Amino acid sequence: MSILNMTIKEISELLKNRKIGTVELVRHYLDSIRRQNPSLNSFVTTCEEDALEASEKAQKLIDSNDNTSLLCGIPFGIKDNICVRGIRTTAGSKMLSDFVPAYSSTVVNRLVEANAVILGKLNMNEFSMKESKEGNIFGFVRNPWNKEYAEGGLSEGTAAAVSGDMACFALGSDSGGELRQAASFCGVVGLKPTYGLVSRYGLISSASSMDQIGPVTRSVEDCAAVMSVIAGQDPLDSTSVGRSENYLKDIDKGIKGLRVGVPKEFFGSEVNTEIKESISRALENLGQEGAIYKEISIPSIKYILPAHYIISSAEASSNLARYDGIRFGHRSPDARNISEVYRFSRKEGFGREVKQRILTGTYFLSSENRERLYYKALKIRRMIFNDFRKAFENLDVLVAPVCPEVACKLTDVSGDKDHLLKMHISDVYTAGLNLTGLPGLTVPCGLDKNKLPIGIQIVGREFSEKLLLQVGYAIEKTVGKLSPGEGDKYGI
Amino acid sequence: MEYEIVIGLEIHAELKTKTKIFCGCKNEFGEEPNTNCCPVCLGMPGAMPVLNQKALEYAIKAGLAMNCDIAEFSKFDRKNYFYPDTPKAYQISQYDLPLCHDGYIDIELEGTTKRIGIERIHLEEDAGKLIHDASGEGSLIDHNRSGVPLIEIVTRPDIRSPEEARTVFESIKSILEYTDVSDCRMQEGSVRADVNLSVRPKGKGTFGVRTEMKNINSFRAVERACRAEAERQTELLERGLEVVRETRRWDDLKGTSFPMRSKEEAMDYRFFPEPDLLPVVIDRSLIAEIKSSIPELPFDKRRRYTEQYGLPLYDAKLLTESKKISEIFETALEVCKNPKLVSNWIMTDLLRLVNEKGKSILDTALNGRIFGRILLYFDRGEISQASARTLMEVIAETGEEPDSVIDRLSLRVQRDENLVSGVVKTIIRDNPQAVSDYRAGKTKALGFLMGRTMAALKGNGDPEQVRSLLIKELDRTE
Amino acid sequence: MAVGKELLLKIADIAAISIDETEAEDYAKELDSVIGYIEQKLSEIPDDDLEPMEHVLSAQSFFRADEVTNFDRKAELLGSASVTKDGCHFVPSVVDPS
Ligand SMILES: [Zn+2]
Repeated sequence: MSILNMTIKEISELLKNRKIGTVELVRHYLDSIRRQNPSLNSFVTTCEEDALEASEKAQKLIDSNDNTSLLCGIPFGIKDNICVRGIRTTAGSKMLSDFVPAYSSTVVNRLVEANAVILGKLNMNEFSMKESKEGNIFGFVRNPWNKEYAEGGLSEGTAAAVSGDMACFALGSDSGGELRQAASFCGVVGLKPTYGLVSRYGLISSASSMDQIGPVTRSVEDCAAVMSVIAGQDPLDSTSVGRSENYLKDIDKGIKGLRVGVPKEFFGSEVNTEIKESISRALENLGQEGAIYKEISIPSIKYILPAHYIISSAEASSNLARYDGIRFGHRSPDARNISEVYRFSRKEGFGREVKQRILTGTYFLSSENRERLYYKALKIRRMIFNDFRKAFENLDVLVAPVCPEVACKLTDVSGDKDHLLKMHISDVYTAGLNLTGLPGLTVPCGLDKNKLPIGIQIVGREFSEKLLLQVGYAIEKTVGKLSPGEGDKYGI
Repeated sequence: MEYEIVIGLEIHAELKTKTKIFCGCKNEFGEEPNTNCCPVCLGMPGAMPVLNQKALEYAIKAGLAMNCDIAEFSKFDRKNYFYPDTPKAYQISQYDLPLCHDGYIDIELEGTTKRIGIERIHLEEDAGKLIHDASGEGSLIDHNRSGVPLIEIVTRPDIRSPEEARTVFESIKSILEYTDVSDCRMQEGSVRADVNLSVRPKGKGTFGVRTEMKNINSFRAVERACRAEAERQTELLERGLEVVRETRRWDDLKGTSFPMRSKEEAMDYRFFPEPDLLPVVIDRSLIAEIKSSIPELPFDKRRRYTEQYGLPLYDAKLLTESKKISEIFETALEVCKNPKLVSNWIMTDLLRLVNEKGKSILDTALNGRIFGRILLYFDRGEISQASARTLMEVIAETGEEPDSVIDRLSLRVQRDENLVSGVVKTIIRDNPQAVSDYRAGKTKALGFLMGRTMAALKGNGDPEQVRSLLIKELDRTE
Repeated sequence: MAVGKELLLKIADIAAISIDETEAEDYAKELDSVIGYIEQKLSEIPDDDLEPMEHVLSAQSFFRADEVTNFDRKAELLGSASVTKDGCHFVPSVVDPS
């Protein structure tokens, strides 16, 4: 039987009804990886033996117990900045190309406890920083919908793996929008949870005050299922404060009376018309389901980018200082004294863009600029936070594009200097949530004329994931599930 | 021209928590290198800090003991710099919102009391330790110490002499010891001081250019470093030269300091709020609870010893210098209610025994209760001074109860008048020369006869009784 | 240009990254353009008395009890280092402790 592009819920059903076995399931994905990964470049490490072993264990559980978790035996991929004990974890950097952590992240521990099966580690931009020049050490990820296309400066293996049927779901991370953007480009569901809802223990930090781990899935229900396992306070992460919920419960509750805000600043002329149209259709559909939507204004949206750039660079410059060649990571063989151990190892271990960001962040934090730039950015962050909070006084959710464009051709990505700034400018739609900590869910809402997916982003109040998933579920119901090669069905 | 010295101290003290400040690794000195470490204190990618509640409480306790205000809202910051002993290449410290601020301590120097301001006390993590490789090829890094909780106590520039600096350091150390927040193992560097010093023409309102000397770990060295640096700066000014604002390293062996880096090359620490830790909000009730656990502190104790017990200031100071000694004094005093006697015996015989046998005897054989009993017997005249001394030595060795040693060695004073009279008669009979000397008016001879009698009584005679019986007998047989 | 080669090299020194003279120009140019963009944007915003927002969470920190949790995979931890000696991380001689 074909399990191609089935959701966790569907597969779990098959497993429980003994229609398939967990080992068979894992083999399906391992085969798919073997077949597709050479062109999609989504996985950077696969753990076949461990996966088969874990799936056997899961099968035993299923055989002996009718009440196994929804994720029991479900194979998934993990972005390569989330530590898994004994499995190389690189953060997409030469600096960590040999790094094998002696510890696992809390999210991975929780999924393993639920008997989900780790398939391997997924490609990413070096330390999650967009890169236009050299690519990263593992090369660009390709879009399963059209292999000529990249993810607009992104190299997130998570979305490509889920969309390309190489994993049932994936764990990604989002510091400026990369998780949501990649999900949107690849036509899958992605959630950046409220800052603090999911433990960051074991997530290699990029911008600590904004990084969050989130699920990338084929359906909104799957997203809810994964969140139900990974969310909640962790005694190892002081900034994890949220409570876990059963996000699947009442997911189909409907959205009658939902008050939706459409910030006009998110729908300016730079946003592709097809994206606008697709989101409008989704809004109309929501309206038919009983939601009320209206245009609003959040003027400080135009300051998201500078504030996000300053804070993320500043934090990264400090977070990446620990890569000094001494305790872990690349150490320059040419270093003859302690100063060279630092300076050479960091020169050789980091890529061009990461070094640029470290230098920029160092500049922002230096004593001459700290007050003027860094603290100013923190004030703008407050302004944006207050503006969003105010918007939510009379609204339940906001709607925004994820990106101003759909995925771009690979040939457009590299070499173009101004492209870098353009790439970051496209973060406007996502980075505001990293700045303010608010949750954002992206759900596919259509295809463009080239049959590339378009995503809609639903933004909520802090810790309103449950509502976001209900809204996402309603949208998904009207759009249907999108899979590469099936775009024709939608008559677009 | 006359110059005035202006000194401020920054004192770092390791807190005696069971575990490190941000992880569950043991906080223990002297173990095999890198046995107490984990992803957090090694700064491994993805590891995150979680604050040890006890470290927080100890820091608050130190702050309260130094009369500080405790910040209800406080936070942590990153101090960024590269050094091989600093795993994350930043130290988690507190920059603009320290836990404790605006306190003071009172010190006593040459009979006068002075109040020294405490600007702030903040919590931070210690770094690892560099060990120089015997082969000379490089340096080894031991991370057992990295992540040990530290408090940094910053005084106001209220200190005006090297002696005062030493006294402030001593006073702070003893407060930390009394409050039981730090082990204060000086020689192991668990308490160390940075000295900020400047000089200025006497009477001038503004401060001169200051220098900083780092990591001085003895009282004596602080005093010496201050003296040498004040002399160096004064000399520069007298020659019309300028003091350069710089960090210097004090070499206690050479008795001089060397420049490490000037302000121009000063590190830019790029402080910013630690995103991995949330603000610390402290409950008033916790502060009250900690406050109630603070014992009487040395300065107050000293005052009480002089006022309540009439002890000389010298005694009071010595008795309160260490918490242990003051505890021994107070327990012994409950048994033997003669303060000056107890004080004298502590300052002489007891401290000598502690030097010989080690501090631990104060917890076991010679604890306050036993020590007090010995002094009580002596004070009552039941044993002689020599016997009391013997008793202490034997007990320090064997750990026996005083009464059983007294019985075993027959140390009790012999007061049986018939028996003592008999001995006196024998002595008089056997020493005719001394007897005639005495009668000739040579009073020294009485001393000789006393000594003989006491010896015959194995030292257990009561000197008063022996003396009066001797005189009585000599006068009678004349 | 606000950021020249000299300043860039100074920053690189603070950040402990070795940068060639030739690369420096390239980095400086990009830093300059980023800073140019950012400063222009920031200058549009009135410097009113907003409180800097350091944490987005309004929550306060929780604490850890002072109880030992022994990490028992020390060899694995030390194994992450490329150079070790006698159970320690090893670096070329460090002379001047600060
Ligand atoms: Zn540790």
